[in-house]
Amino acid sequence: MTSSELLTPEELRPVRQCVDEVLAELNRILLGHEEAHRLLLIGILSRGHVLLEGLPGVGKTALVKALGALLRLEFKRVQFTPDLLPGDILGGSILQQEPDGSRRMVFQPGPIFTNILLADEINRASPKTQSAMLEAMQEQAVTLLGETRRLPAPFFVLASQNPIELEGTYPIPEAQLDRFLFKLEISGVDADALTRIITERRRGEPPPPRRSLERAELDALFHAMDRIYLSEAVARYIARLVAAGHPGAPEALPEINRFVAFGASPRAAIALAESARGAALLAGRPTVGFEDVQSVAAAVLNHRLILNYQAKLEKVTSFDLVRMLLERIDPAGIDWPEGTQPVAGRKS
Amino acid sequence: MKSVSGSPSLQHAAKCFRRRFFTALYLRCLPASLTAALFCGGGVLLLLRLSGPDILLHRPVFLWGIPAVFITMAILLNGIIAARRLPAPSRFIAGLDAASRAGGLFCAMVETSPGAWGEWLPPIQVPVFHHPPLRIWMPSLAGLLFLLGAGLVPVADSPQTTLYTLDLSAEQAALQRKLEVLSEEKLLPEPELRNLQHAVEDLRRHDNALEPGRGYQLADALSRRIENVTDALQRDQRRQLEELRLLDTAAERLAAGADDGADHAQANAQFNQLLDRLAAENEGLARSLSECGARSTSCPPDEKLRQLSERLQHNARLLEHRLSRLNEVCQNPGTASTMQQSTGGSDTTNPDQALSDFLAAHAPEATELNEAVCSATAGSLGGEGGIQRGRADAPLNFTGETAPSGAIRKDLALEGGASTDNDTLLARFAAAPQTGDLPQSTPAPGNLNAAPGAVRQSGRPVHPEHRTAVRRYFQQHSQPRGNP
Repeated sequence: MTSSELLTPEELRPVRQCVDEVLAELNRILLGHEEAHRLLLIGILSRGHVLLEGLPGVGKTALVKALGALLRLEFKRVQFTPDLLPGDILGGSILQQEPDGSRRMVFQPGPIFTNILLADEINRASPKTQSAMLEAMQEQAVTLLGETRRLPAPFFVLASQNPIELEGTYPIPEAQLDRFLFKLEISGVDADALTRIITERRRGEPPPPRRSLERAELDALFHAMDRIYLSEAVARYIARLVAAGHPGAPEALPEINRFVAFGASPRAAIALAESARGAALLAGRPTVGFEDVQSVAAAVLNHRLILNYQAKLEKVTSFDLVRMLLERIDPAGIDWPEGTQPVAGRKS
Repeated sequence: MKSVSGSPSLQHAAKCFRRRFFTALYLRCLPASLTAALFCGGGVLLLLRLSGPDILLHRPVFLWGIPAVFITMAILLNGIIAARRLPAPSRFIAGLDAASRAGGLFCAMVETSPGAWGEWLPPIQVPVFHHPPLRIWMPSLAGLLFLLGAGLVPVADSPQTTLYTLDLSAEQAALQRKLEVLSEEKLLPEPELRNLQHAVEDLRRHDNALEPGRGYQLADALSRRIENVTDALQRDQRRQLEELRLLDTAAERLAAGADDGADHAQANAQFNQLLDRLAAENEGLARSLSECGARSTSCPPDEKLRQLSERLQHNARLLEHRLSRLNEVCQNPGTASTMQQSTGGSDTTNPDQALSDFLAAHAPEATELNEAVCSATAGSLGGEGGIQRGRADAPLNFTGETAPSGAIRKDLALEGGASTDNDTLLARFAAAPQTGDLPQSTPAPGNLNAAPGAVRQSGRPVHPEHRTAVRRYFQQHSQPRGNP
């Protein structure tokens, strides 16, 4: 079977059923964050790292823990503090005495050697410690004392950070920020969801998962992800979206030129394509559509558009700019006649 | 999702989308281009009506054709621009995908086989365009009103509006009269007469003021054609008249010398021989002779000779009448004589001179052009030739190579350089020259205006485009020599 052949409906049906069950279970465990759950699952299917940003108590850590329990993957949590050192994450060699009395240096893996690493409050660690995770996030490998060690597959970093209490924090470097597939903003829940949380969660403890994924099922999901077809037209749309985010580019909008200091990297285009594949899989389609790209564009691009002081002054957020890009860039790349308004078509 | 047809319907929808897109593009740009074309066309029309060339003002198709060309060009250019702005066909598929929210299935169908998904495609929705409001056509409406207003502006009176025509009505009337005479006298066979009448009718139809040269050439050709016919008829009639007179004289001599035996028999034989020859050539005469019994073998009695003489005199009068009418037609002033001059003492005005004066007054550039051509073709130094340096048939003398200085010239006459008498053009006639020993200087019986000894010239008329040059040539050479 060549890669250009689409997944058949029969092949796609069990995959979608599996994804739906995981998503439903996630929504059952954590109430009121359906969209965040969907994007987080897309991030996992895309084998990307996710940065969760939200106020304390909105359920960031609980979400990651629930996901770890659902996926049945090895899960470790590191609470990032200013005095955290790279060795505390990556591990190190220690002198160990053998039974025969000899001594030798033995590598003691750090918490990063896991499938899911919860980097809680990652912005509280020093840049030195944060940069220790760059190689691990990009190459799924750790190099210590000249020895490179592969991390277990799959490897996800699910980090969280607090947008307030910025005293004593270190902003995440752009290089590390770019390695996160998504940056999800976890907001508070509405009153209905809150009511359910109060009534259904005693002491705030989430219920245990009733369904968890086997490793084979996860591999099947990854395999299906690889076969989601990305057409040239959609790829061109992704490229135009990313290119239009660069100030000074021919496709750039006036607002981009005004408020953006640096645009998204090519890694962002790759991330957008991969996450759009995940969105298509969740939608039960064998092909990536324009709406899949649009559904994940904000999560992919919002932390990759580096805004200037003018944007901060006028309180323009990256989400606003991404929304403008999605509104003004035609998915099909058609330059519509000025003054004409194409509307929802008639059935042909 | 519901089952729809696969790729063919998608291609059909893409074509439909493309057509709608083209229409939207075309209609979006058309008001501006049409407005520009209408104002440009109206402006040109206004300028033409106020100070345009006469020919445009007298031909509405030219006048309104210019705005029509502008509008047509605007429409065509708009179409070309719209066609060039059309996106690639694959983008229309992508547009259909986005509009139908097909999730990339339509785009994927262009690149790969949909497989089982062909039965699960969503319904194709072709985008519909909301065209701009009608108020964008207001400038075009203003342009149209401007164009119509420019077309209604009265033409300004200017001296250039006078259009000179070549009046060929007199020539046509003369030709028509000639034909009527020829028809009444039955001097021409019916088919030839009909052909000539058709030619005159063609001349009348083609007497176009904008093409005077062509009308003049038609009239000239037809005049020469009829002149040839009348010349031949006149020669034939004169010959028959002379023969009838000879026959009449012979009949009188025969009647007077009837008693003289030997001479009478000889005269009778000669008379019968002449009578037979004339009867063979002239059918009317043969009929007259048979009626009066003059062709009997026996000697005709006096009464028969008298009747024959009367009949011959009657035929002679008839021929004289025909010749008279023919001469009247040919010499009548204001008829065919306008095409060629008569030297028979007529005091008619020369139309060539009038035309030459007209051209000299109204077309000075023709004279300038003529001089420029003459100066260009003529050499500025001796020996270089040219139309103003000696006769064309003058002997050519060549010298040897010329040394820079102190050279001795030696003339060398080349063979064949001198003209011969055979090469000299003496005259040119419209008809074949007369043969026989008929007296050339005898004036026509009916030509009362002709002076004795005058011979009517039948040379080719001078064309209008040459008349100025001819007039200047003769004016130049008619000046008395020796005068400063």
